Amino acid sequence: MQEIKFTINGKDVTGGKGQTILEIALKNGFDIPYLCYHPKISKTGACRMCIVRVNEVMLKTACTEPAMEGMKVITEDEEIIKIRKGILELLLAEGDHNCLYCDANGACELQTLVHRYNIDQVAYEYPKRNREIDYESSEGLKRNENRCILCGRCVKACGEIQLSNVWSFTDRGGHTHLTSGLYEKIGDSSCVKCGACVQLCPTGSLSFQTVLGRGENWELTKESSICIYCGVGCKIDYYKNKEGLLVKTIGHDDGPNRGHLCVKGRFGFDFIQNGKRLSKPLIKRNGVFEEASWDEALDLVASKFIEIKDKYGPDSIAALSSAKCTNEENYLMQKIMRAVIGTNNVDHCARL
Amino acid sequence: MLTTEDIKGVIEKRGSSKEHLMFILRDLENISGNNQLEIDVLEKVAEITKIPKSTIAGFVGFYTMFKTNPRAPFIIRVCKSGPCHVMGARTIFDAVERNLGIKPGEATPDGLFYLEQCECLGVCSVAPAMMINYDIHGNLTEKKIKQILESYKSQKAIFGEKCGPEVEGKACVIDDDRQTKRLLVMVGKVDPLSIDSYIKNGGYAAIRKAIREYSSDDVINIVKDSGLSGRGGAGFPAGLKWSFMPKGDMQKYVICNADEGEPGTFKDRVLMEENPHLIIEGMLLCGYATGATVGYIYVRGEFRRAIERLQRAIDQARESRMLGKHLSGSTFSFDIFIKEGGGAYVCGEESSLMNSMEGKRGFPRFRPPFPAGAGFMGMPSNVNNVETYASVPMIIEHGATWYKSLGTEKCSGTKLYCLSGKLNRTGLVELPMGTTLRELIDIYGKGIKDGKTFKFAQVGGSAGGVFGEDLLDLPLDIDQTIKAGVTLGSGVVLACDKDTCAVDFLLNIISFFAHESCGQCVPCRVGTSQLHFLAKKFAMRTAVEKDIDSMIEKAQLMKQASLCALGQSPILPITTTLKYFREEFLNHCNTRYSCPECDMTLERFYR
Amino acid sequence: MTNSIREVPLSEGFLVIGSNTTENHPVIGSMIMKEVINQGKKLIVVDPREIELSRYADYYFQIKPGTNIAILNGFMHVLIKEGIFNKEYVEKRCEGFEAMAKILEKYNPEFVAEICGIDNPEDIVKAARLMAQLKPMALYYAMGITQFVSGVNGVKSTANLQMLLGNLGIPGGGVNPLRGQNNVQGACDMGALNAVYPAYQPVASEENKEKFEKAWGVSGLPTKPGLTIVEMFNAAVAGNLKAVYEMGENPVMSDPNQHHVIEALEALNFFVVQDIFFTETAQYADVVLPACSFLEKEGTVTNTERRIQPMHRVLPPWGDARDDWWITMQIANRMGAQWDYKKPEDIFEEIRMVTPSYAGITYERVEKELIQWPCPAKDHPGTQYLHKEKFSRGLGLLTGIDYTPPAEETDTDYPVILTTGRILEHFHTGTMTRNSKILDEIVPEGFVEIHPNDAKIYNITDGEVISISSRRGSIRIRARVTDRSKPNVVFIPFHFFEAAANELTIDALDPTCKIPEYKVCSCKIEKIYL
Repeated sequence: MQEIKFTINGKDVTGGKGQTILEIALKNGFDIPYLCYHPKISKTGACRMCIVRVNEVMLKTACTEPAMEGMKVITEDEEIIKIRKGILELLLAEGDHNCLYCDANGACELQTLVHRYNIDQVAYEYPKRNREIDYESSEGLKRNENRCILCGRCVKACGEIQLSNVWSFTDRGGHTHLTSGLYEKIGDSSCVKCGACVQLCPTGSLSFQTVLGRGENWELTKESSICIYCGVGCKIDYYKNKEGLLVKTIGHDDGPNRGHLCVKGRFGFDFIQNGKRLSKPLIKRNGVFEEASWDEALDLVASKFIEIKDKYGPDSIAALSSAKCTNEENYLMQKIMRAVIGTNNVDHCARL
Repeated sequence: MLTTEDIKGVIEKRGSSKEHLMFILRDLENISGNNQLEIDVLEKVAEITKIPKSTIAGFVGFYTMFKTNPRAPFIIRVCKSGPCHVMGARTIFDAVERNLGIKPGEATPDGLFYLEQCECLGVCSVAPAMMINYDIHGNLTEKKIKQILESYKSQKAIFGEKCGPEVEGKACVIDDDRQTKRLLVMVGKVDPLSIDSYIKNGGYAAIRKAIREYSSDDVINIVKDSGLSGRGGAGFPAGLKWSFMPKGDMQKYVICNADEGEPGTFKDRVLMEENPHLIIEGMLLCGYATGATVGYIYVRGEFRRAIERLQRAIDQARESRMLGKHLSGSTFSFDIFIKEGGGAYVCGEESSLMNSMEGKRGFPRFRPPFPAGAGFMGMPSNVNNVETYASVPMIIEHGATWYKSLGTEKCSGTKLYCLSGKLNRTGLVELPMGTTLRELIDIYGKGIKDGKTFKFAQVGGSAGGVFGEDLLDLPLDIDQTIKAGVTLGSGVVLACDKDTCAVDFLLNIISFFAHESCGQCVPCRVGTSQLHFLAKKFAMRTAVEKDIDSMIEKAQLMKQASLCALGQSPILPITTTLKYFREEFLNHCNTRYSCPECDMTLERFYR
Repeated sequence: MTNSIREVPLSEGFLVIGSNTTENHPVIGSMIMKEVINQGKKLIVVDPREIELSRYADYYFQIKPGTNIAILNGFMHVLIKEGIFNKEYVEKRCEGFEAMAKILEKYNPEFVAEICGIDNPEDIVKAARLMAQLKPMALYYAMGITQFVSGVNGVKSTANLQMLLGNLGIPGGGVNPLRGQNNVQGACDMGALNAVYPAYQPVASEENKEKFEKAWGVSGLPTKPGLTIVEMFNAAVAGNLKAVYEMGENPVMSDPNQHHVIEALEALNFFVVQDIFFTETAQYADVVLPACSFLEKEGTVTNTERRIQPMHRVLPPWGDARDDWWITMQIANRMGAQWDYKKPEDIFEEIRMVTPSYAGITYERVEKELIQWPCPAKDHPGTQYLHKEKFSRGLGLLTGIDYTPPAEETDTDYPVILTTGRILEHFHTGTMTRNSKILDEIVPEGFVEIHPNDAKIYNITDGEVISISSRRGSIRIRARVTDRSKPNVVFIPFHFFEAAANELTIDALDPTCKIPEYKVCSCKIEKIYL
């Protein structure tokens, strides 16, 4: 990529030819606000929040404007602040943006910008159009379109990442709203519940069914791991609340999945905290399972293996290892069979 | 209910890719019997074409001509845009209502008629107007409406050219010898249905000459030298635009913007209906100059006669080898196809137009890339207005110097001015660039109607500025209007007399923008809605003085921040109206102030 | 996969055969769909069911289950006959062409169409021509290639085709099996297989025996390959296998011929199950040991593209559950071993010593780097795609392979073909997904897909509970009438214990790799009259 040099707020920066002002600015630590832009999807240029001043006169949206050699970019001045405030005020007046009862409270890009630009009141005078609220039709997703800012990220998430093309804008002007499929409820549409749209939604318009009543966003902690299901090996951030309960999953950008997940990775985690989990060793006595201590159970297993090996030879024992366990665990399983018991009778479900 | 076979038949005929969606849906609606696109039908279309259901839903929802609810064999669309509004559109709704007993959004009990409001139909010289299916009727009166409606009751629904003679292109040209006719010189002389007639009158000489004598760069240079500027409204130099098209063998397109939707404009329709080959020839020249091999004419869906005549002209041109491969024995190949609009003003914006051509919602695109870099289907495209292309053949034929002999210093040639509103004579006139408003009103419009006095004129369409008496002598060209803080736009002159209420007029304009905003960018989507709300407050006489500032502030924000020209437009009519009529707006801040015009509008549209 | 997931955008086209990618590897499915739908890349799909991808395919072949080899041969026949294969590549990098070409001679499109039961033989020619133009084309497959008695041959055929096209050893090409479990690649790499040590080093080798004896500080390692899963159950029934130590498997649900599996488990003297749930299998155990779930443990896993990634402890262990490695170590030590691993990383360090392809990989590196094996040294970046410049055996071996029919063909008693597989919302035996509230809500019960024609013949309506039986068992299951499969082919997902597909499946095995033929057996449909 050809390198270009220009300045942002008087500071020299370099970027690649064809990159936008926003991409280079973000990489260099300049905090230009945006709502419709998202690095995972194609450019939209619709929210107009990222307007910057180029070469002292022109106002351009940083998310769509390619950076040029020698360009002078100012990310914020009085006029730009006025525009950004104006846009935020329009958005606040358009929808029902009450953080009190919004799932996104604390994790909302609109809320962050409203705070950043000191918007302290909403123009209540203008009529709002009631849009769709649907908390029920889908097992996975909830939507309250009154919290929607029509940034279009969900439309592109579905059309460019998941490729289900469930979402689209319909109607137009002030009546513009979202539709799933042919004016269907999201739960009745061809949505596969991958959650890509929710993951990209900047507000609480789309959220996961799992988050309801499970703590405030700022109380959640996260840790990454690898999905347990198929062989793609998606990297996932698992969020849990103060009580340690898993709340939601977000695809991690560094994994082979590049942030995307399927319905299993997205929602298939609560089995872990399912009351049916085994929590104590069990030993079958007279046909009935009884709880036992670890020592008791392990001793029994070891002694039985020794007994059978002695009596019938090592090849009378076999192990089924697991494609659900780690490399280390599989390694030890084949090692115990080969080095301790003395047989190659070890296999796992690779073929199933 | 349409059968799967019906649907398959249409898709087979039109092609199953997304760019044909407009045609597919239009055909299906036409054969549905009650002008409806049922969800089940759309579902089938999605299944057969593999176009996502949501895409179809979004498409249908964007274009106002489509509806998923049942309508009737005959849709009556009554125009409510500026010129018709001024000329009494509101009473037309009353008349239809009295005759059929239905309000907009309703069907008659016998299931024959369905009434809708619509925006400009492009027959503004015969305002007020309405369209029944694709049949346009102008100069409406109560008596005439009754006759018209009666005549439909015994008819079968048809969807072809059948408009009355008073709205035909040539009837809309003002008969006055003082004009300087260049574009219109053949109108009425040449038979639009016959390529032979066009050729006999000197047609296709320019393209032959170009192929014979000029290189593609020569053509671009001649157009540059001629000083021809775009006639769609923005006035960008045409030759320069052509020169932006990249050289090379990639697929390139010539696109003719015939989505004439600016209220008050009907010039392109006249040209398309009366001299379609002139446009084809202009596009051929552009194709020759830019290396494009395919042309598209995007015609608004309401212009059925223009579409049919253009199609016929294209067919004839192909037959006569004026379109096709290796034209005039050269290596130059070019063909033209028609695309239709679906009732969206914003599709006159070139990037929305290309999205619409691709079978998408008519959302404007951000720039760059410009059309010459990545246009239709992502390939280099040159978009010009009908009038622009139509001006090219004469430039090639007679030369740049000849062309420049008329017009002003910076804006050469002639301009088609569309006169409408409260004038004694309305219609299309062709005059040198820079003709004054006074000349247009007094000479060609024969003065304000019924001897009343001039109050203001809006020049340039809904997006244009309001001209008071002080601007009557401003030469109307692109350059000088900009200097005066207004715009020539597409050449619309909508004259209003003292009976017109400025508040009511502005409300009409703003409601137009609110209706036509595409809804993509925030400033325009929310801004137009809020402006509409504020303008309505004045009409309702519940506004306060501060609302004037609010309107200007919002329009200013839209001007600065909107993605496309639509959102940047309301500021001009708002500030110019307020410049002259601030007092009138302040009067409307009093609930006891009497304004029959506003009352009538509120009663008709905001009950 | 010979190649990498991030190479999907580099491919000019895709051949997807025996993989319902959008349901079973949805994230890769979406990536392929993006290239095809949004970027106009080409797609050829071969599958007995009209999977989602087939909708967007340039060519789609709805073959009879078990006839992959025939159609792959058909493509190759055309490539050779028309001389449009990559001659330079074959000459330089492969051997065995002449012999293979001879075998392929008879696989003309009509012959292939007859075997595969397709009515578009001319498309075989067109598709082959298209493949020849796609540079590169990637081939993706999954269990729809392997789970046959001819599974190994199916895999070889995919490699034959890609070598013929010159698509191996280049970015954006490759033979790309999509692995069905998050660490099935790693489990194989680690030698959890009957015949190989870690990194596929055969047990039947004195050299390897010595190497591992030295590494592990033991003597007398067995050189005779052990039993595979299905063989284990056969041995148990025969009385030769007495004890099984099972970690995180559910053979009662996952293995073919369920009755036979249960019989085997009941015949064992001692059976240990180590799992997170009390599975269908656990009830046959003598001891059940509670293990940590994936979010409660640390360690590494290796995905389908050979990429090693770290797992982190997100949650504390459930109840008294323990790490699987800890449990195994405890058993080993109580049998006299002296293992002293404090944490998974200690084990991994030992893995590096004995697994050449993992030698350069460390915990520190996998936290911040994208590493795919082989990675022989700490300064090695890992391997994005295999067979660059030369194959591991030197020249790529083209092997002519004849089509062989499945083990069980339909007859008058069992006239219908049964094929099995997974669906998007559930996974394998359902131990995890059936216990996940949202997933179980979305698809709460099993079903059998039946073609409308068959439904008519058997007088079955959509949603009706019917009986499906094979020579091995019988289940009751709800019918889903759909034309996704051809008439006379039914599909059952195997996630549902209430209607376990594997009560019906056949335990016929591929002679080389012992994979069971899940994808095709014969069954009969019966309406249930109340």
